[in-house]
Amino acid sequence: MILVAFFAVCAAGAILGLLTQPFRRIGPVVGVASLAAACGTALLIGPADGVTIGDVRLSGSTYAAAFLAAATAACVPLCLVGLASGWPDRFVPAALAAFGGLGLALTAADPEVALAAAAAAAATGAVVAVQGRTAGREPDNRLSEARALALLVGSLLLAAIAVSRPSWAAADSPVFVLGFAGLGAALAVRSGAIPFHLPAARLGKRGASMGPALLLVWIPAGIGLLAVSWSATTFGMRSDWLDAAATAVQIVAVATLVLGAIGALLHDGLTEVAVYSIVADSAFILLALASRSDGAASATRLWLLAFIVSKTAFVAWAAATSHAFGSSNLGELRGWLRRTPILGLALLAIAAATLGWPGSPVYEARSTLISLALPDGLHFIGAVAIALSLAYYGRLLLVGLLSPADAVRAASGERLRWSPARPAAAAEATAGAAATAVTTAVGPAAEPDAPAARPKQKSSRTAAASESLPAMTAGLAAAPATDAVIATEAHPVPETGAATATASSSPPGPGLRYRLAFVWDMNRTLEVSGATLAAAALALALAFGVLGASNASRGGIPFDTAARATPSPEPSPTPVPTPSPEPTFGPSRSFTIVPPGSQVPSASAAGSPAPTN
Amino acid sequence: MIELATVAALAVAAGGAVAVSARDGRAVALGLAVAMAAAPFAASPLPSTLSVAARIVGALLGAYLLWAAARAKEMWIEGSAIGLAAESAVAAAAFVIGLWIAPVKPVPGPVAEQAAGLALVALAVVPLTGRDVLRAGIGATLLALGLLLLHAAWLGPGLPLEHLAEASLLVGILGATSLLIAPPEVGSDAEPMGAAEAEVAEGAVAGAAGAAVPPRPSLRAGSTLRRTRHPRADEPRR
Repeated sequence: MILVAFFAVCAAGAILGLLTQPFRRIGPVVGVASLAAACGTALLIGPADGVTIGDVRLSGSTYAAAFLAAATAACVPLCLVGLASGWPDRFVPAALAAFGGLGLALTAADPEVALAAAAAAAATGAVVAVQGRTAGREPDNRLSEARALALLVGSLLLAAIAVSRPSWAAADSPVFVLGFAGLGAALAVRSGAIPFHLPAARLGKRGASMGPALLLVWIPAGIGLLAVSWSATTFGMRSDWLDAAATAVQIVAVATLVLGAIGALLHDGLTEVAVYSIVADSAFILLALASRSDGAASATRLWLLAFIVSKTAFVAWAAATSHAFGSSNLGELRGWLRRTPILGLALLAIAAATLGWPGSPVYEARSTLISLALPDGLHFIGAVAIALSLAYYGRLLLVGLLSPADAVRAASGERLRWSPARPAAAAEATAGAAATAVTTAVGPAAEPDAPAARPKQKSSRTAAASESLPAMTAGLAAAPATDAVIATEAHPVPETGAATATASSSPPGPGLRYRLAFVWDMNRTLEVSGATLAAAALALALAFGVLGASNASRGGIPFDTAARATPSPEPSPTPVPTPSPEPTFGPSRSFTIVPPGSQVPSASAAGSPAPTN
Repeated sequence: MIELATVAALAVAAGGAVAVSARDGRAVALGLAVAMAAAPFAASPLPSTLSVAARIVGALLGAYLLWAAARAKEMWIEGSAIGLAAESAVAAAAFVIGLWIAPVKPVPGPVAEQAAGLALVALAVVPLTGRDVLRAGIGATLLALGLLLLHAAWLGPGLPLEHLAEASLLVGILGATSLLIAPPEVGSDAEPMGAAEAEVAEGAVAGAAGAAVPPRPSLRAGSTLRRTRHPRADEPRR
């Protein structure tokens, strides 16, 4: 029943999210609550849970629960960041629909159901691709998204046909090789691998800050799980054509691993850096498919857990940093680390969760995939990828340590604020009165933070303290209009003039609720940074095998059992041309050799006791 | 006696040809609805009642989504460059080839189902290579439907949950297409718009600037003239 509850929560959340779009107050609450409910339900999924729907068994597993819980849990802070930095209307409904589809794909043992559900989940990604198409002259990727959707769906369905047909799987037919290539193409297209990276790059340019998490992380990870289930069993056959297709996947993976990291190193837009970073790391999914080895399964599962959460956290970090300083250009973000140290900590955690270090589970998983998928002469690619990743993470951190740029200097930063600051001139004149007012209104706890009462040396904190309220709220004003509407409608925030008057004329506050709401709005950057740090901490925990990630990765999903039940890919011996055994199609769509003289079992009698002579 | 599967397969191919070549949103939606609703009847034996119901509901819902989006956006659909007759010829040729070839022996499903699947796949190729978003979405739908028919023909009829997942997939593709065909907002010149769409956007820009632009005759009088504005729509709300 837990599985049914998870699907119900996802479906209800998606529908309610769509229905509450016009309501600015209810919509975000419904979205976050639905995500939290989906996360809680996913945590309860266990190996014993299952439901049979029309002869198809949906079974829970530890890894499916961990994957779905991690994805939904990482989505919650991402949406909290989005709530502060511009709430995309259709993001949460699309994400919930995708999670429902992925949940069906990860719990179904039937290949056709699993792949159709995965394709349906991927179709919802196009909803996110049309978000924020108001960027003027920025490129529009609607056409490429429609084509990618067609290629993805076609490839997955072709793979389902090819793999489900035992004779093709055993005879190394061209259709079977096309199925393998189709799986590789589906993964490459949806994850933005290098020949297909332009739509992903445009996604970053268009400012759809949360779209990459759904399009480039969650959906490819779910499809990758299904592909890896077949990689070691059905596609384990060694034949010329299949080896050639695997080589093509290897080439794409290596190119993506290297060039994606170089793209992240060269671009200046934060969202583009995040997108290229995701593209580069998604190459490990292709490597897992190309490895065609049993040893890659566990490593891939652990890597995917770390991948979905760490890259979601990276998307949240990019959105949070852009929100904090009103710019996503790295050139205008010099010194960001000085103003937002929590975001710096989150970036360090994200880098550690993505790369690990020798001996850590995530590092070993990456190394395992490299060693199993690539020939010995190319094992250095793993070191190159780590070096390039360190380079772009280090570049981000280095830029943050430089002297603050104007946009950074004008931003409020993460320092906790209890009251609005005032213009410098007015602050000198009314310093004593303001300090008294703030102390009276808030209490002794706020006194150390009273900016005007503590003149300091010239520093970023002083600059932040001496700025006026309009400058301090510039970050909020720079956010999209949706944010402004949400901020003003969700909280009774006073007008700018009213707020200044409140602080300078020192009347007692209108009430605790009013003041708490005001403080909540003033510390928006701190709250966003905290949500980002929470996602990064979750990524770090999963990457190092905590929270049951290692144990879950050693298990599998029900689809693995179905993949292993597929007829062995070993070349079967030439059948003896005896006329009596006739191939018949049983209920499970597999050939059944009927001994001569026995009764042919019918589909209806499949579950009945064997006839006795 | 003509079997139901053969009639359904012909209806699927005909619906696909209409959807690919039509220039009116209603005709496109109708063609897709016919193709998607007739697809489960091309199988033999027939799927369960629940499966057929799920597929039909999915077909109607998907077609409605596309029709509503095309009507609301006043989309000018390019249609096929070669016309309905040529598209029908392509579909017929692929259908005959599907009747003739036998990649799977024995074919668990009807041969007509395989033929219909090949016809839809052939029809989907040209729209997917074009520059029109709506036609690309139609091509994606036909490609998915064609592969589902081939899947059923080569592997036998699917299970009920499989039909439910397939119906969800088709609705998902058409729902995504209906969102993708939404025109860019005024001021964005990233994607070339259709003629009626561009006219609406141009009028909105001119209206915002206070200039009087003489209305141009609509290239497609049907849907444009039906959407008449309220006589007091321009007055400020009180």
